[in-house]
Amino acid sequence: MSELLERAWPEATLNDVQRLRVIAAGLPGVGYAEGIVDASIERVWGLAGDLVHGTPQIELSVRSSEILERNGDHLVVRAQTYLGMPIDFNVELRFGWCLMQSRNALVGMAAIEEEPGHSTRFAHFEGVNSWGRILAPFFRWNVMGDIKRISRILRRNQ
Amino acid sequence: MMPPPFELMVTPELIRAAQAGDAQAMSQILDGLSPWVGRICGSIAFESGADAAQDALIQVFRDLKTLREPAALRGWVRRIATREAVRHAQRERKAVAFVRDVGRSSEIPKPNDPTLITDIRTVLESLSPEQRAILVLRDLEGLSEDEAAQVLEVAKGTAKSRLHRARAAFLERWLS
Repeated sequence: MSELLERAWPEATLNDVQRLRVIAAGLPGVGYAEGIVDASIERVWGLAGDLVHGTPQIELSVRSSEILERNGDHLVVRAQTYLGMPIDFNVELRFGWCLMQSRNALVGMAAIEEEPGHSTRFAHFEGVNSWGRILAPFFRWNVMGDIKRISRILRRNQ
Repeated sequence: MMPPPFELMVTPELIRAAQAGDAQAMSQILDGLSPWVGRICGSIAFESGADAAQDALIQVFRDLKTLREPAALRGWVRRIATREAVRHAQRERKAVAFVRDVGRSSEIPKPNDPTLITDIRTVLESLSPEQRAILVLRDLEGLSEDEAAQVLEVAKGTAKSRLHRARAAFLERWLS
């Protein structure tokens, strides 16, 4: 009976958006936002999770992006910005989840189905791991713009 | 009982890195903590277990910098998770009429029958959040009465009587 009782206790599981909320809570220098995109998760992640072709369309500051190394879910990605400086990110990437970290910059994205086949909850943060909370409002404004841009691109490409 | 995997995954070095703002260290800590926190919160808060686990872990990560001794992580997280789970379960209990049919099938299920697990779950769900919390801490987490009382922030005698009542209620409903 005791073994059965142990198996009977239910385990709650966090989805990827909940995971991203938790990580963002530990990073005071990032701006976090989430929104509903009217497209299937396959289309949303097909754009947002494509760091080579999708990121330059979504991120206005990124001119191009290339994968330097890949080892399973772990990548090294170089983003070329319009300001001329390349930024190398260590990346954790799988369907519905992306966490990018350079020496100073942090980016996170997560997606879950809201209404299967029709809409997706997309969560996003950007920021720095220094400077405390000073720049967080700016980054929040920025990631809200990214989410709107994803919606616009997917609407245009329908 | 096997040691929880997070003790092997969440090293003091990883905690120090996360405290310094390393997001990927945080992600690894989250991988280590979330099944265990999910078990505590799911067992106490049932339907709102995932929300409780999320809120508990948000609190843990927001305040991680204040943790001076990595060895204290387990007790600290357990306290936060239990408190959040009880809070969520109480809120849900107020919102939903808590009338559950714990009636049982007249057929006796076999030991591996999934309906038996479901029946046990139904009885556990019919207990109060406070009763589930003490059962989780004592029977699932293996804490002593003293330790469980500390986590729940109640006197040892209160924890003891709550455990007694929880076990009695479980048996009574199971056998009814």
